[in-house]
Order: sequence, then C-alpha cells, then structure tokens
Amino acid sequence: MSEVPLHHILFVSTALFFIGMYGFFTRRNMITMLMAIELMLNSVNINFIAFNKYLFPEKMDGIFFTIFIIAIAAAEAAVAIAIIINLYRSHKSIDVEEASEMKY
Amino acid sequence: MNEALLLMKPELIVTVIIFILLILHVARENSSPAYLLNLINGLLFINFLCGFFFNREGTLFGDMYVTNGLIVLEKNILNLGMLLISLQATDWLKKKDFIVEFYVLLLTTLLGMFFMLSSNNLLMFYLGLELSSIPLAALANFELEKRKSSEAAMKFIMSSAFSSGLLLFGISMLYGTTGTLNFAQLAMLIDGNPLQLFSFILLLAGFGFKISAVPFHLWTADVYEGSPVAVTSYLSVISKGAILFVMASVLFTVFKPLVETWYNMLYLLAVLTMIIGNLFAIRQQNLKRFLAFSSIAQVGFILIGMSGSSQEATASVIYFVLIYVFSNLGAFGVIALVSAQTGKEEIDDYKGFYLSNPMLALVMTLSLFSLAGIPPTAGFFGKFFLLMAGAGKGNFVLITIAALNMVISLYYYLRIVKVMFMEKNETPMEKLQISLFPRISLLTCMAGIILIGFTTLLYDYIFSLSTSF
Amino acid sequence: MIAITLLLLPVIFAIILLLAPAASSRRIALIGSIISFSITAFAYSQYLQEDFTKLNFDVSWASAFGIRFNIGMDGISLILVLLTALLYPVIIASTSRTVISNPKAFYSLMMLMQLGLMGVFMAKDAFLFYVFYELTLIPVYFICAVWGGDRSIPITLKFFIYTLAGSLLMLIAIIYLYFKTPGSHTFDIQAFYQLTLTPVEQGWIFWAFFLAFAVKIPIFPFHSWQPDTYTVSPMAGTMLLAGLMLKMGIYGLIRFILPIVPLGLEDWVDFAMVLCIIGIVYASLIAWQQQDLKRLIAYSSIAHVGLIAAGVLAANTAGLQGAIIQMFNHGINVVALFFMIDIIENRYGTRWMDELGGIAGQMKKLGVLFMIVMLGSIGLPLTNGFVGEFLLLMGMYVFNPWAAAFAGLTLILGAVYMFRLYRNVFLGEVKDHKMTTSDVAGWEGFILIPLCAIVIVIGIFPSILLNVSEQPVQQLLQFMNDHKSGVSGL
Repeated sequence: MSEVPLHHILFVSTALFFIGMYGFFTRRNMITMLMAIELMLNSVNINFIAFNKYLFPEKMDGIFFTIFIIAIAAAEAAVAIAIIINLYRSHKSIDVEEASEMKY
Repeated sequence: MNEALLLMKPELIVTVIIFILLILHVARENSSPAYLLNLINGLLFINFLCGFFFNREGTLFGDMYVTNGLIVLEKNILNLGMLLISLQATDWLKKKDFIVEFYVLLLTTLLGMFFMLSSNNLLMFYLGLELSSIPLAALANFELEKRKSSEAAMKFIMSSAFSSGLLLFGISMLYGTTGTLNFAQLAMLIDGNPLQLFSFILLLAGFGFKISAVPFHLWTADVYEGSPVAVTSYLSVISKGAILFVMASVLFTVFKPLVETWYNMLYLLAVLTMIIGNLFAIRQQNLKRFLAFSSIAQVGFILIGMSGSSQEATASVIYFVLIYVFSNLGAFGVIALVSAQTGKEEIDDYKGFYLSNPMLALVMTLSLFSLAGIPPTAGFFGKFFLLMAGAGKGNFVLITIAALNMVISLYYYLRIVKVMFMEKNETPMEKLQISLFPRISLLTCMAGIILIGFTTLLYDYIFSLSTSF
Repeated sequence: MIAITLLLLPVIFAIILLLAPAASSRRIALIGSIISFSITAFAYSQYLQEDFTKLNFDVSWASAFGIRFNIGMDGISLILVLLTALLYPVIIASTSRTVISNPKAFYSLMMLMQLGLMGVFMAKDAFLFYVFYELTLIPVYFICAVWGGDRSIPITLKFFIYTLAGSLLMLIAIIYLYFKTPGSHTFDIQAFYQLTLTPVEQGWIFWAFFLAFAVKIPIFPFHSWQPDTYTVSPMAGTMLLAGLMLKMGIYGLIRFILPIVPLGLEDWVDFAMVLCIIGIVYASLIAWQQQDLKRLIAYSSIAHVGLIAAGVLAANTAGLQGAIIQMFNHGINVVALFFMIDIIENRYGTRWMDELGGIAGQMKKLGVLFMIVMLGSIGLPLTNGFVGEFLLLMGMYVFNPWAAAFAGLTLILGAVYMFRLYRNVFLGEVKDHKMTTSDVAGWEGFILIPLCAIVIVIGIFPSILLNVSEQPVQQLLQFMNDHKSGVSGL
C-alpha cells in the first residue's frame, strides 16, 4: 500500500480552511464562529505537518510551528470565551446580531 | 552571557516590570491607586530611558531573534508611546479596581510587540503577534459592566483570530514552497511561483486586518468606540505602529523578490484606504469613532510611503509613526481627560470647548492640524516625506490622489476645530482639572508636534539607520 | 544674518506676547514690528551698497532629501519684504481702537503671519517656500474666523480649504520638479531654473502652479472666496489679506512660472490672460454697484491684482517691473483705504454708502487724505499708482495691444467707482447721522500721513524701487529666454 500523496492532504487542509472561513462569515452564534476559526487553524496545522513530513523531513520547523499554533489557539479560545461569557451577561445572548450597539 | 542579556534588554526590562507588578500585587494587596500609578509611571519612565543606553546589535536563539539600531529605535518609539498613554490614563485608572491587571496585560502586549519587531523568523513573528493581540482583546473588555466594551472586545478577538488564521495559512504555504521560516533564507528562496503569490496575498490580508487597511477595516471603528480611551489610543498608536514597522521589514526583506507584485497591491490598498477612511470620517459623530476613521486614512498614507520600497521608504514610515504617536496621543490625551471627568465623547459635546478649556482646545487643535498635515506642524513633514518616498517610483497619479485626500481630511479635521472654537453650546463643559501626569504627557506631545518638523536631524538619523533596499 | 533675524524676530515676539500680560500685547507687537521694519530698512541700505553677504542664510535642513534652509533676498524679494515690514506697524497700530478679546492670541497669530510672509518672500528653496506659503494660512484663518463678524466661520472654512487645495497642486508640481533635477535631487529654486522640460510637462506644471497662485491672488473665476472673506474679517485680517497675503500669489507667479515653465506659459498665456482681463472688468463693474465700502474696496482689489497678474504673464521687462512696483503700491493704497473706511465706520457706525454723505465737510483732514490715496489707487500722474499701471499697461501692449486696451478699462472704471464713492460719501448732502468723535485723531494721522507721503514719493521717484528690482528682473527674463532656446534646440 502506497503512501497518501501530498496533494491529497493539501486538498483536505485547503477545503478545511475555506469551510472554516465560510463558517466564520455565515454563522451568527459566537461559539460556532470561534469553532470555525479553530477549523482554519487546524487546516494550517495539517499543512505544516504534511509539508514537514513529505518535503522537508530533515528539519522539525513545521512540527514546532504546529505545537505553538495549538498552544496559542487554546489561549485565544480561553480569552475569547471569557469575553463571550461577559457579553452574555450583559446582552443575554451570544448571537452577533444582538451585539450591535455601534453602527455607522 | 552578558552580551545576550544586553541584546534582549528591552524585552527583559519589560518582563522585569511585569514581575515587579505581579509580586507587588501579591505582597501588598491594598496599595492605594495613587501610589501604584506613581510607581508604574516611574518604572515606565525608567524603561523609556534605558532604551537609549547599552544598545547592542546581533542575533540570538539560532538566528530567530535579531536586533540592530533601527529596531532599538522602533522599540524606543513604542516605549515613549506607552509612557505617554500611561500618563494620560491616570485620571481614568484612579477610579478603577484592577490597575495592576491593566498594566500587566498592557505590558505583555508591549513585550509581544518587541519580540515581533526583533523577529527574524516567521515562528517568532507569529508568537510576538499573538502575544501582542490576545491580551489587547481582554483590555478592550476592561470596563466589564459596559455593553459597548464587551461588544468591542468580541469584535476585536474575532477579527484578530480570523486574521491570524489567514496569516498562518499564508505562512504554511510559504513554508511548503521554501522549507524555511528564516527571513533571510526566505528572501533568497522566493521566486514568485503561484503558490507563493497566494501565500503573499493571504499574508497581506492578515497584515491588512491588523493595520485596518480597507477592505479589512470593518472591525476598527466599533472596537475604537467601545474600548476605554486608553486602550483605544494604545490600539491606534502603539499596536498599529508596531505592526507597520514589522510589515515594512517583512515586505522589504522577505518579499523583496516580489516587489513588482506588491507595489501594485499596496497602491490599490493605499488608495482604497485613504478614500474610504476619509469619506467615513466625515460623517462621524463620536469623537473616538471619528479618530478611528481618520487613523484608517493615515494608514493609507503610510502605505503610500511603504510602496516606495527604498531606504527613504523605511525611514519615512518610521518617522511618520513617531510623529503620529505625538499627534494622535495629543488628541487622545484631551479625549481621555474629558472622558474621565465628564464621560462625554460626542463631537457635539465639544461645542464651545475653547471658552471653558482654552489650553486643551489648543492642544487638540494642534494635534488635529498635525494629523491633517498642515505646515509647520510635524504631521506635514511626516506626510511630505511619505509622499516623497512614494513619488520615488514616479507614480504621480498616486501622489495626486493622496493630495486630494489631504484636502478631504482637512475638511473634517477643521470641522472639529470649528466646533471647539466657534460654536455655541447651551450646556458647556465645565473647566477641567489637568493633573500633573496628563499635563506632562500633553506638553510632550505639543513639543513633539512643534519641534520635530523643524529638527529634521531626526529624519536624517533614522535615514542613516535604515538599510537600503 | 539679516535674513534669519527677520524670521526669528516674529517668533521671539510671539513667545514674548504669550508670556507677557495681555494689557501690553499691542505695544509689544508694535515694538516688534517696528524693530523688524528698521532691520529691513538696514537690509535695503545693504542692498543698495551691493553688500549681499548679510542678506543670505543657508544651512542644510533635511539632507536625506536635499532640503536646505536657504533664504535670501534679491531685489524682488527685498521690495516685498520691505512692504511687509512697512505695513505691519500700520496694521498693528490700526487695531488700537477696537477692543480685541484675547489679545495675546491675536497678536501672536499676527506675528506668526509675519514669519510666514517674510519666509515666503525670502525662500530660495522650493520646499521652504511651500512650508511658509502654507504657514500663513493658519494664523489668517484664526484671525478671520475667531475675531471676524457674522457668518465668518463657514466663509473662512471655504477660504481655507480653497487655498489649501490649490497649494497642494503646487506641492505635487514641486515634488515632480524635484525628481527631475539631476544627480542627488534638490529643491533649490535655482536648480529648477536649469531644468529642461518637455512642452507637455511644462503644460501640466504650469497649471499646477497657476491654479495654486490663482486661488491666492485671486484671478477670475477662483475669486469667489475673496469678497466674503474680506467683508467678514476683522479690519486687521482684511488688511493682511489684501495688503500682503495675495502678494504671495503674484510673487509665486514671478518666481516659479516664468523661469521654470516658459513654454507652458507660452501655450496657455492667452487663456490665462483672458481670465485676468475678465476678472479686471468684471470686478470693476461689480465694485461700481457696491454699497458696502469694504466690499467695494475688496472688488477693486480683485481688479487691481488682476492687472498685476496680467502684467506678470506678459513676461517682459516693463510688465514685470510694473508688477513689482504695483504690488508695493497696491499694498500701501489698499491698507490706507481700509484704514480710512475703518475710521468712517467708527465715527458714523456704518460703512454703507447710502447712509453716508458730506463727510468731507465734517472731517476735512480725512477728506484730503482719502483723496490722495484714492488718486494713487486710480493711477493719476505723480502718484504711485500711475507709475505701476503705466508700466503694466506698457508691458501688456508689447504683449498684445488688444489685451492692453481691455485691461486699460480698469483705469477708467477704477476712476468711475472711486469717484462715485468719493462723491457719495465725502461730498453731497450731510445725511442724518451723528459723528461721534472728531476728525482724524493724532495717532491716526501718524499712520495715515506717512502712507500718503509714500503714495506721493513713489509717484515722483519711482526709481527708488525700480532700480532695486531692475537687475533681478533682467536675470529672470534671461533665464526664461535661455530656457526657451534650450528646449527648442533639442
């Protein structure tokens, strides 16, 4: 059984990236939007791992980058969720449409 | 060992200050706000002074971290801005409970910016960027009880996370095509194949979000309006300045081979940013929102200078950011005072401001003139050098568009001046108390606005530090 | 040394004004302007002795872009600096009667304005010129808007944006020229004179400069800001605008358009000339209809300045010499006229023609003084206006007899509206109004009599100014002709 070729993996990651982007733009629930962003970040992770494994196996740059992305994504999610909870306290909703005090 | 410490001096000092604050917080839980603020501002002042001594050039961490005269200068500019903002914020912070937390978060973002400026590697750059933007979101939500504040924070963290996603995807593509994350090696390996162009566009979009260039600016106005004034001024001056510095260095080193491509993109971005920023600024009623759009328009100007891609371009961008620090903080300083003491932020509240607070009105006017770029304020020289850098490419259409935009911007800046000086108000603002710290800060801004333009020595100094393209 | 002192003095006095008590502001400003005047007089004597060393000052400013802080005076500059220094004490003294709120700010702005004006007339570096040119806008904007009458806010805003939009075009042109200079680029105006530009380029640059200056001068159809601004401004602001600020536009025409883009001028001069002449006739006709004295002088000013601009565009010795001397004369005359209108308004509480009459009977001295200045303004022989207008028309005749003929209408129309003013206001029946105080007071005479003396002295001995500007004008025309032959030789 031969290895999965690189471009298949890239296909998956790119699809994931744009699914995430689509989700970010269409979903109105803040938690779902956050999840959409996580999808985008994970597609990047797949990219890094795949590139590292297939193209540049002699160095570990890609894997390191992935670890950092995961860590930072966690931090980001923590802060974002804290903000969303605070928002929920005042707005009683986590729909972005509800949070529209400020408009042009 | 000693050398390594000196190389990382700015970062280390900021880290030490953060730790001092944390320890202090644990050890002396009920220190009075005044004591804390005096201490912190003192520390920040020391931090600013230290920026001028024992500066070294070199690299660290296997070429991931680099520092040289230019980067030290950029860090000093950020330190200066940080100090000024902190001085301006004292009135507001005195009434708050979480002073230490505020400064810890703020200094963490500063630390992130320092690492970002010193980065010589995409990983380092990314870490610095995130370190500088995640705590800012928390800061935007600093006034927990205000609806606007949490809304602003939500918009900020969402857009910043999204833009990091774009940036990262671009970085991963770049890594895939070249196999390295090091700036110098990337510059050699980039040959402009389609995948790299794609990744470049994503990176530029990421940068565009962070500097709020049109069409990536939608979050800016809401976040600026909703956040506390101190955070808004930090976002518009320090955060934006740092990203602009990095953007210039990334474009000029890593993407040097693609200069033809990005020239056109910057051209387009600059034109759009200026026009949209200016047109929206005209119709604003909230002063912070107004300054948000005006700062968008200023970014358009900076992009013109950056598109010049030359030694002049680097120098002009840095010089302009320095001037922008003074002029924008002059304006924000006044807003901070007014907002802390009266809670008023609408433009109409400033009617007849000159009658009750002549000095503050004068400060605001000078700052706005400087932002508008009217000689002999420093802002004019900043804009002029940017135009000169941009005109080096011989594209006079761009310069003409820029000049037209200067006229539009003049109109709305003058509108504020007019409101302050010449319109009557039924409920005029009372005479405001200007305590020592904000006074120092405002005087520094005024001195900067008036003197920097005439002492172009500073420009020559920055120019000598900038590397040729 | 002299040059830089003239620039530093206003700055120093502005700072003193801000620190000193408000009650003494006017006196301090007056002292400052008189010192400036005596230094300028000294500069004039140095110039006559052909000792130019003290008149120049040159240091590097922003070396990265080759910008130099390069100022100095040739004959043309000297005359305008002299005019500025001469009119400043007059303008400041003229404010003694009016109660000015916040005098510190007012007189500091006046000083700042003087800095800008002196700088424009002395700058030898195009960038410096631009900076000073714009620098004058801020003080004049505040003087007119804050201390002005009703509706002054929207009107001055229009004025500000109008002129700034114009001068940004000039900035673009200057940047363009900068990048055309050979080697490491420079903003030196002399270096701009050496450039050989293609006719197409010259056309564009001509328009960029012309629009900038035309707004300032103002030339028809860019004049719409002017009468309103003059009317609503406080008297000192109007004097600054009419007496000094619009000279910057004409000075710019002489310095930039003639020697740098002679071919552009050649292509477009007919068009520009027609604009000037339309402006002359149009403004004269409107002045004829005015009831408001201040507005009447404002329109007559457009006519006079249009004639000066036309003389410059004719680009020959007579035209240029006439333009330079007439700039000086116009400054003196218009300031004197505005000052006397201010006196009338002060005494009778109105400046509307149909409410006034027979003043000459009540104020004999004023009647005589007004007559002298008015004759100067009309251009009667033996007054200063005659020399200037004669030279201007001669220059235009060389350029095109028809142009001269139409422009000559200004003499006739000028006489018509000025005599109408004199007849209605000074002669005729005494209207039903009360004179509050007496005839021209001592200090007013102290201002007016020297001005009238200048009107006559220059009328009789125009050479004191003409000799000064003779050599630089020849040089300028030389540059222009060299440039033309240089380009056609390509």
